[in-house]
Amino acid sequence: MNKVIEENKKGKEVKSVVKEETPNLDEVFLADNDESINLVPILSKSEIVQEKKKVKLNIGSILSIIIFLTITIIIVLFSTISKIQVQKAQGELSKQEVEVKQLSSVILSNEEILRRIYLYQDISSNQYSARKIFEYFTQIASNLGDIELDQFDFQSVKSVSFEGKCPSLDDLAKFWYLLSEDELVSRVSLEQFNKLDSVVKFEFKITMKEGNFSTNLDEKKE
Amino acid sequence: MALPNMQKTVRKQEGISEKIKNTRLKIKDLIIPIIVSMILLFISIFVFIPMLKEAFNYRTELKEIKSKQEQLIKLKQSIESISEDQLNDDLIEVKSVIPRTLKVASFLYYIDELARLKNLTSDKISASDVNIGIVDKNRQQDSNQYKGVNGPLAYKGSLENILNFLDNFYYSSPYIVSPQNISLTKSAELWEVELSLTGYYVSEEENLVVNIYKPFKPYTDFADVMEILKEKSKKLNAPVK
Repeated sequence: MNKVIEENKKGKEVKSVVKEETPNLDEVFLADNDESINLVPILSKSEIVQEKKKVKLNIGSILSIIIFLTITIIIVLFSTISKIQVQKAQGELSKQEVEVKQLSSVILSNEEILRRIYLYQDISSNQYSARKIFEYFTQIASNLGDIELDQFDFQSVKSVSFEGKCPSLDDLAKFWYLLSEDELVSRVSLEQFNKLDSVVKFEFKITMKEGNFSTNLDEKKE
Repeated sequence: MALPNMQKTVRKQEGISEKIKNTRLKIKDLIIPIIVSMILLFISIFVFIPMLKEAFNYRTELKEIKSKQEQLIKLKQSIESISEDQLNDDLIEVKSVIPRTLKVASFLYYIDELARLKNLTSDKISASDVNIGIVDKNRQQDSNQYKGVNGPLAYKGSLENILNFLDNFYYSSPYIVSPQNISLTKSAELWEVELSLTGYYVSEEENLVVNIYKPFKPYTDFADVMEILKEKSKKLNAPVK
């Protein structure tokens, strides 16, 4: 009897030692009823959680591979389709180029005509009426009386110089004033004047406002 | 009996701890994912990015090709809107007014004829070839290089006739002419006009290459200028009186 009691006591002590060594509930065996030796240890709760994590990890890897493959396929398809579209478009463009090049004689003839049209426009845009300029300044001079203009140099559509003579410096000053106040004149310069006996010779250089004496070639087409 | 039980328990515990140790994430477990990740990264950098770049280049090229196609369609429509027979007729007429070469005699004939009609007497007449550069501000393009025949002319006559002469020589000459440095001087009762007159021509270009992608402007858009040039051509082709 005593032996049985001692053995029971020892068993209880061992169990209590085992319980004390057990760190927490997670590592307690789920099935620990049999007395046989379990060579393959049974999974604890924490092991099951870790195993589940592994499965999740594997699903994650598979999903990643699927996404990667999808991206690969999309990129390859995008590139291939773009290339095919470019090749097709290039083919069509080449056909169009051949068709248009057959009309190159028309393009060349058109260019030949255009060169001449542009030349005409260039020339006509710089033309001015020497008659209009002459008559305009002669009119101003004649309004003053004895002023006579006897030489004109037409330099451009905006610039003219003329020489003339008048009886006195007073007339010259009046003429100068009228010119400088004229609405079509932007700048007047008395280049020189010379008084000889009763005659004053002078030379004016006039800069005119643009567009007032230009020749409209179309309106004069007769 | 107690000892074997204890040993069994200890073994179980050892098994558990071993198992736990085995389930822990170790560095060697990470080697394969890291290698795979690196491979993917390399594939992305060296395969995907160039492929994407290439694909986007294709898209850009495609856009350019489409734009060229549209341009060619418009060009073809513009060309087809021009009657080829009319174009050839117009080209002949325009070339007669602004020829590929301008003979001095042809150029001066009409001016001299006008002076004669206005009762002006010739003082000086000569001409020589020149190159002329004209910059057109409106078209914002490089200066156009033209060739011309240029020469000083001098005529003497009454003021009214001189002014009529100056007014009319733009229109009397069937060629395109432009006067420069006009000088009007009174001498006794008569006036003398001196000017430098240029007649223009367009020399033939060699090795003309058609650039079909150059902006095309049909000459028919300049109907007003064409009319003037045709008038001049008619004058040129009319029998000399």
